[in-house]
Amino acid sequence: MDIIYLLLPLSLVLVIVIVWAILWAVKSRQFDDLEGPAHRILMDDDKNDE
Amino acid sequence: MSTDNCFHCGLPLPTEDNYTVNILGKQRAVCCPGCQAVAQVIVNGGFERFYDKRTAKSQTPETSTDHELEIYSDPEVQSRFIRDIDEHTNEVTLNVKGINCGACLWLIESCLAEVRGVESVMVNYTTRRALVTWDKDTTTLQRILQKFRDIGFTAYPYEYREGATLLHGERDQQLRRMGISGVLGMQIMMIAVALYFGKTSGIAQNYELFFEWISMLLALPIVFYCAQPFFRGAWRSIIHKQPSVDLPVSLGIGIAFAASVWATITATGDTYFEAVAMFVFLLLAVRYFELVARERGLDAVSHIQNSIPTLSTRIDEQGNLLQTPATRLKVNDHVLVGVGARIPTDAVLVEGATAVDESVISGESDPVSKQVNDELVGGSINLDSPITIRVTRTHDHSTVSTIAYLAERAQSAKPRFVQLVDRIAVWFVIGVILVAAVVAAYCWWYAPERLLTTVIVVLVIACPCALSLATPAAISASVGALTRRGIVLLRGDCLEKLTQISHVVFDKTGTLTKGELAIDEIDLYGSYSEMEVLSIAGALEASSTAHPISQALVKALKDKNNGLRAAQKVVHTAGGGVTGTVLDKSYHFGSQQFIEEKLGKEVAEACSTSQQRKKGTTVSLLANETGVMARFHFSDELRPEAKEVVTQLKAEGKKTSILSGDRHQAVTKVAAAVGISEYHAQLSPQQKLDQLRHYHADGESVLAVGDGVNDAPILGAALVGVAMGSAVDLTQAAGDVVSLNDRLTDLNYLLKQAEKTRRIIMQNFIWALGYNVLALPLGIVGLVPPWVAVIGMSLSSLIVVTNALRLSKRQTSPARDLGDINESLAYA
Repeated sequence: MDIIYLLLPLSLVLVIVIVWAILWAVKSRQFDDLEGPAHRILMDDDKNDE
Repeated sequence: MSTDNCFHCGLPLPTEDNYTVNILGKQRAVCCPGCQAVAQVIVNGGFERFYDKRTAKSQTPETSTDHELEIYSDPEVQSRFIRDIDEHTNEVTLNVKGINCGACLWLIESCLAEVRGVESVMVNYTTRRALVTWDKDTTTLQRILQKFRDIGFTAYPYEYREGATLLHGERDQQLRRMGISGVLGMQIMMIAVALYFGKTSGIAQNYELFFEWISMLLALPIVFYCAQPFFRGAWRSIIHKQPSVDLPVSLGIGIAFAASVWATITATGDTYFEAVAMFVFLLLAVRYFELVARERGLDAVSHIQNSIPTLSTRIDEQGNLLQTPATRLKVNDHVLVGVGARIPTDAVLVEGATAVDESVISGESDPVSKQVNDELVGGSINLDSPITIRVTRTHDHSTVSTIAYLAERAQSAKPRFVQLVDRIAVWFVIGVILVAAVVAAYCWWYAPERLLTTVIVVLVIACPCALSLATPAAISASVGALTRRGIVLLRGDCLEKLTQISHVVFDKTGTLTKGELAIDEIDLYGSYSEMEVLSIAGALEASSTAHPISQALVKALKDKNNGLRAAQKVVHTAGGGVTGTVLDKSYHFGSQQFIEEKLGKEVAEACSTSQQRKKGTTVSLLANETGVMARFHFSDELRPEAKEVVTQLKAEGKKTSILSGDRHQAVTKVAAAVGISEYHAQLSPQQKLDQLRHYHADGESVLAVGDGVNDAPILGAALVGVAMGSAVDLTQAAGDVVSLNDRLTDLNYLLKQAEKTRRIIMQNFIWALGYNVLALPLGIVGLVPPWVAVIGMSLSSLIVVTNALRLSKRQTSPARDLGDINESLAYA
């Protein structure tokens, strides 16, 4: 069970990464428009390829 | 895609005219030149695949005059919207009308990107706003707005108000706090599960301690960063000696955390880090969703409000025409007002004669005829023919501005309202904490060996988590449900106020009625059919689209599925009527007096004025060269739901009354039709306010519903003011609630929802208080082990939140709720 002394601190590192990701996402306005990108991905192509 | 509907906007095709555009390799029929032009621009730009991709029909392009956009070349106007990024680049946020599906995003972004000088375009689908940056040496805001129009969207610059930016910053901050407390809380929860197992089946002490230390590490940011707003709020409430819910919340967090830290450091007793984390996360989430619901509501309102100053055509001494914002007109300036335009500010008529629609100010639905030297009120609409006016009061001192001032002042005189329930909670909590302190003191003296466990158990049981979640959770769920239905609460406390309403005051025009004329009945003389006279009258009036009578005729023709014909040689006589030729025959259409003049004989027997007075309607006659053909009765059409709404209010034991600025006859008629016995007519805004104060003095809690500028003061002064969606900006701002979908039935729904919210809050309180009161004695005598207290605390919060969530369930017409708000955003 001593592996727990390694795994828990490791999970803390993971938590730090996730927290950083949240801060980044809020800062770069990822939460501003939660609907648009879902539509945009379907439209995002060159207008002349027919 | 049926062949009978416009390919672009989906409206029925006209019967007589024929417009087509070649789209996607086929000739497609469209309904009007507007749609044709827009479709052509889209096709020519190489974007015709838009029609392939879209999932909803587009909006019908708004007809606009060329001058409308000129206001944006005025530097003073520009400075309100445009932000400088650097010396060459400008940025603006635009509210865009007409975005219905994802393809619209694509169309706008790709089309705008092709405009020379535009550097970037980002459309936000959620808020229906576009962020545009451009090189100011190459292009102008005007040209960008024009491009939006060319492809069938209407864009207005969005004025960043201080409040909106603040709200935005606050939202980001709260999002960060909620996110972090969620992630850390999850981690603590995972460790807590291991500890729970340890409690039942045993755990080595070194592992237990290790788990506790890690939990404490994780809980530190939650308490010192995420929970900061609660502590700050509590501190403020202590300084101002006004207990708020933040106080018990902070106490709960503080006590549970301190006890856990003590237990961890001394390696004795239990820890409650997971309870602290869950509590902070739940509370933050509840507050965040309340904020988002309110922000969405404000967004939707901002799409309706557009604070653009109107542009007026000033005539200077040399007779040149100058485009000037209405706010900059000076006394004695001469201004030209076209047909269908608003009179920019209070003025007198110096040249021409016309009829104006003053309904927005007076509440009176019929057009008022104006001759030279007659006074005109700013904000009214010129209906018949172009006039020249002389400004008598500047914009800031005009009647409308005066009413705005009245409304603003009225708001500060709102009846005081105390949130009793929260006060009780605060005092209860303080009492419980005191009890805990007494118990601790007792143990200290008489049973020191049980001191720690007992005190901690008592404090954990007394921890007011569920209690402090009771109100905000219910209100946030309720606000969300209402916003989805298109009912926007501008002020947070009005849900509680709504439950006290005893008297509902209605405005007439635009509130109980639709605010637009409709044909009541047609009396026929001679051998003409109703259809014939209708289409002739429609043809004569076709050119004056701003006139309410013309709109009523056009609507009636449309309802009967009949196309509009245009008359030739149309001559308007101001304030009287119109003469024109339809299919080579000459006709007159207008007031009785006008027809008598034209025919040169009395037509008294055809239409007695007493009869017209009695019915409270407007009458117009149609005549050919020989005599009267038909008599049209117009009246302001009642909203179909009005009677039902009033009946329901009465059934709930609420008093109802009408305060209107309109004539006695018209008000009497409407009052009788909806079944309201108390009504007052011909009231000025000040008189309305006096009447309302009279009600207040009688101890009644008044809800006021209205839409016109003249209603703004009473909406502001009433306990709760509800503005209809069609209301002007000023009135919406004065109210507490805006019904975006402009439905009167929203009123019943709103009152019902408020009542339901009150009930849920009460249930939550009884549960939370009951739990605390019952468990406390058990805890004091030592019957509750600490871990049971912790689970009880978390479970109690969970039950309260789940109960509150019942409010966000959609009750009536489930499918339409979400559609409605989207609709109001899309078409607003």
